[in-house]
Amino acid sequence: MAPPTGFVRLVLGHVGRSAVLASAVVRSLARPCQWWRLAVDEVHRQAFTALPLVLLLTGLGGAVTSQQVGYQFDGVLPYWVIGSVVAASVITELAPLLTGIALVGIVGARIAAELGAMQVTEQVDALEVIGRDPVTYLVTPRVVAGLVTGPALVAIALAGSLFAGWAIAVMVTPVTTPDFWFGVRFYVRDFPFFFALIKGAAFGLTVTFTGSYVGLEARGGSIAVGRVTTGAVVAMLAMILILDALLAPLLKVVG
Amino acid sequence: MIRIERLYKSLGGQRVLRGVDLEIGRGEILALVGPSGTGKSVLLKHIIGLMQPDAGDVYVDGRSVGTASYRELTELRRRMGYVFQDGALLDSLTIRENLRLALDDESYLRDPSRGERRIEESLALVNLDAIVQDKRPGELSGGMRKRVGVARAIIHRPKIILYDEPTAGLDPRNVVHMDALISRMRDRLGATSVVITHDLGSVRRIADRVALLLDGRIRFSGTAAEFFESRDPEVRLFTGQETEALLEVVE
Repeated sequence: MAPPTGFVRLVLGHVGRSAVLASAVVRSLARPCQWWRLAVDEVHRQAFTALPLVLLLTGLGGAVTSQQVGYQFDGVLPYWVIGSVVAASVITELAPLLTGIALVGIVGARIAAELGAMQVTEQVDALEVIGRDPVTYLVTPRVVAGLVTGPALVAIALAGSLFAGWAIAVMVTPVTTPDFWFGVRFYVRDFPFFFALIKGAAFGLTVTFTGSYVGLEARGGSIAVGRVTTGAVVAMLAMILILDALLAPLLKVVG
Repeated sequence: MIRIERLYKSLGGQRVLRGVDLEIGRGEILALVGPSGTGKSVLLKHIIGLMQPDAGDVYVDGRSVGTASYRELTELRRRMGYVFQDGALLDSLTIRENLRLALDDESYLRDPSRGERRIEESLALVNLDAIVQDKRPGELSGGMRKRVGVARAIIHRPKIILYDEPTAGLDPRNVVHMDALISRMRDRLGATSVVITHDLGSVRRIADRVALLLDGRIRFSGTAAEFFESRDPEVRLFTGQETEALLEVVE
């Protein structure tokens, strides 16, 4: 069999090394006393740094959806439908996806740059030399925090975007507040909410793991840190959109 | 105490180490010299197990580093200290937290006051005031960061200390301080030391033996006196004698 080409070898190399890192993270979960305090600090850090951007993006998302629906359905459907469409768009798609994008920009890029800088300045080697497992100390707390922060931010984003959607709807369309919320209640069931939280967890996990993996791949100096950070952002955005597309059928099947 | 046998390592398709053989005796200070990019740091990282050899092995007290399991390696590293070129202190932590991280959690939690004493003693050994404990690495000068790096490396009272260019970038006064520190570590702890350096003054002051790494192999290994008196043109080029002779011819 012919040996794999350069690109294939590169991809296989990344797949192999990320699998090794993932298995190391899973093994380290068995030693919570070594990472739980760090994970709590990281939850705090991730949530509070990402929250303003999450609220801004999802608020604007809710507001734009509300206006578009109002203009396009004007005179065609009853106005309470605006509430249903806004709820459907925001809960299943906009809030989780925009939260994921905010996590990429704020949390993922920070993790990649931080771990990249630690790698090129030998801080990761130093941890190993003093008997601390770099995965348990650096990666596991960030990934566990991402799993917690992702759904929590999506829940806040849902509330924020629905609120923005309602505020804009009553300002620019003839819909009344009771009609809007009737429309929301008409659509909302348990599973779409749960589905949005699952997406939040998946995005939180993807962003923090990819940021960590790419950061630890940095070799060289400050240029390498810049390169891995850019690479991490591109990879995380692509993975979030792919994951979003892959998860969509789940709503159709279960929901 | 440390035996390096036929060590080979390639990085990025380039052969860095091409069969290194070297022995370092107990309590000895070995200065490892050689041109930049010749693999001195790579060799040091093999001794502490941060890199795996392509072929050959390193033995510390007769135990193989290359084939050691993670647990064995961790155990081996407890007896070793590594001083990184720029300190490699964790930026996000204070000096005290950096040193605390190097202490074993179990023994620290059993007796925190003993752990705190260890931190203070280690800082005192490198002539740093306790006042630096609450500072972050970014608030210290380069020389102080290096000394904290040494303090972290010696906190376990290791029997082997590996120094990666401890005097690089230091002013002459701090170079002398660092040299004195390396000698003191040997005198007080009986530590075997391997010191990568480009500073011939340091070699004269501290080294019992010198090894010259050239083109991935040990070109010269002998006492410091033998090193400076060597007739080997490569050694003479490195010690500056050949350059002086060349300059005289040119003039």
